[in-house]
Amino acid sequence: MKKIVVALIASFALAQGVYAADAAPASPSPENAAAVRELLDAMNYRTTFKASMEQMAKTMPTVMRQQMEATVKADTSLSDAQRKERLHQLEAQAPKMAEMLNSILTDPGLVTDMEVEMTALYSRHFTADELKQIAAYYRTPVGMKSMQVMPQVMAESMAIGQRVTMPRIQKAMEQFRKK
Amino acid sequence: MKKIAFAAAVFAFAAVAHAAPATEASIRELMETTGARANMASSLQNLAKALPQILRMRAETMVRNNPKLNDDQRKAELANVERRMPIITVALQKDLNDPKLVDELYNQVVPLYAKHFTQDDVKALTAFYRSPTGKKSLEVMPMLMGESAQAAQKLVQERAKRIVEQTK
Repeated sequence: MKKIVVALIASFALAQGVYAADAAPASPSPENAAAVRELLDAMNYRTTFKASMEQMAKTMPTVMRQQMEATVKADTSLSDAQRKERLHQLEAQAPKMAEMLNSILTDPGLVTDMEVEMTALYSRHFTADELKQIAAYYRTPVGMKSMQVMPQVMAESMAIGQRVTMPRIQKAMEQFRKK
Repeated sequence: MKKIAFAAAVFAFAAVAHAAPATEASIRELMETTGARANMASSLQNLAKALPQILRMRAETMVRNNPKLNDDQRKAELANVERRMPIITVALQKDLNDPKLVDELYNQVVPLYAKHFTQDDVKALTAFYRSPTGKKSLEVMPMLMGESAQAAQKLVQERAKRIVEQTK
């Protein structure tokens, strides 16, 4: 039972897209590593990452379940009885799946591993000097404010985008239905 | 309407913060500096590319799951979806790649910034994004965001796999 759940999680993670083959993280110079640590600290990275993982642990189970249900429902090779059985199984496994996802996403080791990845990533794109300047910017009042406010501004911009594009998308869809 | 909302937002902000509200011109300058227009246009283009695929999948699923159709009818309906796809692709391309749409978005995002940032904020933001480091971070950040999302996904997946191995 547990195996099925984990396999589902793994397959879902895989289905999210292909990631670049591990470019073995060239270990950054101590100077760079220290500069990235300072930047991540200025960015409040640990707290932000934890919060977004907790958020994901809340929303992912529902999203995954909907996707899996849709897959089962769309599977024409199943008989009605089989389909019912599968849906029933999904329903029964849902709490276990949520619990497992939660334990993966909120594992403190995840943030620590992620910091190692970020150190390699930032070192690949920025010099130690640039990293220091960005960190200094995030420590200015406006840098701090923009970090706090930007998620809200982005969410509001997205809402504007949806509101503005929706009528056009609907119009195109109506044309599609008519012809 | 837009102007009233803008004025209201500015007024509310000024009343609370006692700070000079950001002028529309300074916000537009900031948005030009960060390349907001190009970003908007390219996300609309991505949407125009992705939507037809989503619609096709949805239409095909509906046809496949319609129990009233026999095999021949189903085949005909699927061909029908296929035939209509170019029409919707063209219509969406035309509607979403319209420069007027970007203008419309742009005009609505300006008051959003005015709501959240003072004139001093906007000036400081513009100055940072004009500095060599600021410019570079604008260029690199989208890539970095993508790569860090992939790294996070990789780590989560590795952990899921480890649990699979342990339960074997």
